[in-house]
Amino acid sequence: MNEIAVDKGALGLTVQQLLDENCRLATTVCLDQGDYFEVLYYFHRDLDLVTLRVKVGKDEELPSISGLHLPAALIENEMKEFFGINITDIAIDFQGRMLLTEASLQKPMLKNNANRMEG
Amino acid sequence: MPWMMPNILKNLFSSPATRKYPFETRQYWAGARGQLQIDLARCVFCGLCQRICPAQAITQYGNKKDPDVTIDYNPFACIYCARCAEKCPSGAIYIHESHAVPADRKITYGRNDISLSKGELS
Amino acid sequence: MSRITFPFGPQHPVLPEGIQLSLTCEDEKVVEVRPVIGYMHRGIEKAAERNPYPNNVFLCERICGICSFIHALSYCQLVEELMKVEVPPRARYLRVVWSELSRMHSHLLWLGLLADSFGFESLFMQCWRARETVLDILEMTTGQRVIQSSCIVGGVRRDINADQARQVREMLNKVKTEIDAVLPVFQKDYTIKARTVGKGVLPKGQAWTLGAVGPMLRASGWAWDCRSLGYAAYGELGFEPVVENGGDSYARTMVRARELVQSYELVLRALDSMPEGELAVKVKGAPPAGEAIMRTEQPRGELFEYARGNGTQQLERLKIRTPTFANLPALLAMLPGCEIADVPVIVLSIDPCIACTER
Repeated sequence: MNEIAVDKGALGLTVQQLLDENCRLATTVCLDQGDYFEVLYYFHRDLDLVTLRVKVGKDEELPSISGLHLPAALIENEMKEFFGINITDIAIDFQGRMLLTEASLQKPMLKNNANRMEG
Repeated sequence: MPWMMPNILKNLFSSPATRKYPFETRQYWAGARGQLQIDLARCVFCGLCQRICPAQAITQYGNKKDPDVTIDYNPFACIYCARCAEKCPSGAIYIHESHAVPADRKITYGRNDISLSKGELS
Repeated sequence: MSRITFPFGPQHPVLPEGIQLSLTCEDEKVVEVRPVIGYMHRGIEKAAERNPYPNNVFLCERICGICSFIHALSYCQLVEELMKVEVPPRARYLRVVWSELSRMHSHLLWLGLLADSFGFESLFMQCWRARETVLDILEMTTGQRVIQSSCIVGGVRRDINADQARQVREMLNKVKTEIDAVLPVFQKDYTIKARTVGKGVLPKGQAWTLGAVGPMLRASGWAWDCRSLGYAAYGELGFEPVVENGGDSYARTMVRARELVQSYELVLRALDSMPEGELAVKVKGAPPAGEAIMRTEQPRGELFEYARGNGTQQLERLKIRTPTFANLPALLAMLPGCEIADVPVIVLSIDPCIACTER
């Protein structure tokens, strides 16, 4: 499994290179590291995995890769909803209502949103 | 139709696959985790069950030196994993195989609601 | 031509769990699909960050009732990889036995639901009756029918002794006769073929680029199965993926039917070649700061898990990507162009487990 640290400006180019090698997106993982987000993109190359690691500041924008690879739209919607990362130009945008409602806790996966036990 | 014929003929001449519940009830396999019961007479109040329970279904009031120390068990929070029964050093937690009948209100077995004597569970 | 938009779901007799697909139709042809999900979201990833890591097994098991054991297995293997724990061989073989039994009961459930989706209720009942015996085996060996709670970090909790193994073999033979009576119907019956052949075709190239996993990918001609990675005892038992080439719902049915028979054979082989030894190793300490990835094969496809530890008893991040989440874009590409009467069969042919998708 190889790992590449990518700058978010070069993300589109690297993804397009991987897609040309017949890789596809497995999933993305977002981590809240306090003052920045770390986003990991995992691609399937046959049965192996290729990792791209991107650091995004809390108020920066991250370009979406769903224009290049449509299945990424679902997972980017989820990251935007749960962490609040500003991902721009998602192909199908649910506007933050894919999994959560107006009444639920917004951006629940952020570290400073309390993890409380009810009852 | 022709591929189901063996099935149809077999079912036509055999007994029904269902049982006449509630007159016949299902027999549980040995080792099934149905209901939990804590025997306060054997309990040494070490508190291990409370610490190990993933769902916080067991609560101990007081420590083992208090004269009125007791244990509450909430069957509606319990996830029936049986970790408490594995950890209990005095064998005070019994796991019965039959599952509890549905209840119409939530109760806690312990000092506030129902006492934990062996005859109470159905 | 006029268009009408109506909701398919969240309550539909054919769906095992709640998902809404908003279908836009012209006459009887579906033109657009928009998914509306969120009915089954429970916040499992957030809850996993507050429990001590051994308790998360019980949380992960309850993500889904049908694929419950393999969720627990993936989590245990993930933490074992993070903490560099070596699982004893007997525990690995037992994990394979229970995983394949889970796969059998999941595929039997699915075959029954497929028959029910076109109204073939008697076949549905036959499949579920065979499934009852598999659930009895699970109750006898692990203690409960559906949420087994048998896998822990470091090994397994219960053993299958020689007497139980003999009983398991007898019960499995009974299941095999019941399966053998039912599978030719799925393979050759005229009505089933008329409802599944040519419906929901996913061509080979599109299946890969849209992200399909599991039987959906294998029915389109790709020999891609995570059990080939050799986790648990699969490397020692020898394993070949089941592949079909049609790409339609009939091919997916055949893949799952053949995997059902393959799982039966794998259980018998694992029981025969199970080594002696202890059941679990004691795991002490906390997950070190680091990351780990685990991929296992659920009945529905590839389950991808990621964990990051930070030296405390709680994991810093647990991420679970379930197979139906990866199959949803392929479903959204298959539906436009089909007729309304085919929508239940096509939706069911991806084996949707929405509780898994939304965690």
